[in-house]
Amino acid sequence: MDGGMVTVDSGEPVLVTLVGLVFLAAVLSLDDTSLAQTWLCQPLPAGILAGIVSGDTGTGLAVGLPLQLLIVSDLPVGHTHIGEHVSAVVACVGAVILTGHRLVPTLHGEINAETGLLGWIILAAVLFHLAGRWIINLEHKFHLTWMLEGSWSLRDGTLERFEKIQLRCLVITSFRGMVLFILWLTLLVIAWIPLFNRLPHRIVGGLSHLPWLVPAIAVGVLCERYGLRNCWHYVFGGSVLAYGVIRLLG
Amino acid sequence: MVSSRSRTHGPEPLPRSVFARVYLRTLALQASWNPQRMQNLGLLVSLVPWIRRQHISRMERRRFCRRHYEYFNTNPYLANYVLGGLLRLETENQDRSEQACHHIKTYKSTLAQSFASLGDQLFWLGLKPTILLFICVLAMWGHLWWVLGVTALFGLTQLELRRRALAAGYRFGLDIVELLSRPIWHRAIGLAKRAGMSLTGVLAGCFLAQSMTSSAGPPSEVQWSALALTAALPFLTRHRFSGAEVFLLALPLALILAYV
Repeated sequence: MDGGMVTVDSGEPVLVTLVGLVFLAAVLSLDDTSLAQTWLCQPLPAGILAGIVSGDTGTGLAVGLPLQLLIVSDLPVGHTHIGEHVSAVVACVGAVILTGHRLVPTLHGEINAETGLLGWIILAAVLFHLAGRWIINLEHKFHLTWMLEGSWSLRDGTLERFEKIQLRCLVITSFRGMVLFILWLTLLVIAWIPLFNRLPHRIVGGLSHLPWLVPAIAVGVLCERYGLRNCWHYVFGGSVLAYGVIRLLG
Repeated sequence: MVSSRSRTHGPEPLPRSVFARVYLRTLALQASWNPQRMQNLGLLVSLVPWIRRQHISRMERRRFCRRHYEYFNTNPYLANYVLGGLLRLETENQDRSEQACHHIKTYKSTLAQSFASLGDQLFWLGLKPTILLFICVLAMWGHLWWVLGVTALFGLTQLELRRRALAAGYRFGLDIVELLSRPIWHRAIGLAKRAGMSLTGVLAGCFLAQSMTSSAGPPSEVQWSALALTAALPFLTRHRFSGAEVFLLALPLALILAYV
């Protein structure tokens, strides 16, 4: 990779890493929408877990933290989903590491190719996340069809039919996680990451600013959700306290 | 009558194997979520281990399925209060009278709505942003294992809460309404929201401190202006965008910064 990019040689066999990431995408997709909902599927833990599987937790953190900040205020009230972040995060972490790159976790405005690539990857993760919403909606339509199919059991009293449909839904969700992961990973490895090398210098500079803007977006969106009038004194107090403590401790 | 029995006599305890099976199935309550009847299939599948233990006719089984295959939607983390209560009422509804069945339906829909509202306020608006902001601040300082630890701790706590909720729902039956009216719920919601607001400030403070001390040096006036404009974007747009959508709106701003 040119442009002063840091590269790593992964000692792990690629196939083992890929299988691990596919499995992780399936399990975390289940956790996200269907089973247990422990929040280990949230972008930050998911990114770190993908980093552990791929052998570079730093890259997992670099991708997971900005996306986590961006969707921290998304509320799945009534099972509404703004997007599908699991496969997006796991694929981005996997693609970066498998193509021999390394991302340094930063939310600063340092203008260099490393931060530019981070901005480029975050942009991909956001686009994949938003695109995943349509897939989840499609999946829910399948659920509806199968649920109506279950109405036959209201006539014959067969309980096994309900159980089979439920199991089918769980299998489809994990399958969705795997398929989306493979799709996003392929797109990243074949097109998105190689395209970064062809971007003009100025665009790379602009992309470098993206990670720096993420915390401001998160704070803005959260204040809007809480209501500025209700929250400004807590936000102001918290920021003064945190800033003061950090400066005091050096 | 269901109501008088549930209030005067303690329930027969559920067999452990049934309780465990129902509990495990409630974890997948949302697995078959659909836009028409939402969690109805998840609810019915959760109750299947119980109905299998009942020696009832096929007709009764069909009526049971019809009763619970209707619209059902509540917050997944508090749903077990409703499910536990339903198991209690169904256990006590041995005469299968029309009136008792109607009573169960009303109980289910009323309680589901109440716990949906309470759970959404507590978990989605309160705890979710708070815990996620907390792990973000931990991550900003590089404490990766703490991030996983805190998230796993939340996961285990909510699993235990669900187990206790199922037991409490069964124990309380109709009296679950008293549990709902306790002020602790609203105190917890208020506390979680205030903690979230304060952590939003902590995130801003940490970010500013890191920006001021970064190797790139403190931001210029133009960069400060861009930052302020980005933070104001959710207020400037009339539509309520998600953070990911605001990020796309901020993309041109980042590109302009490269030319300044």
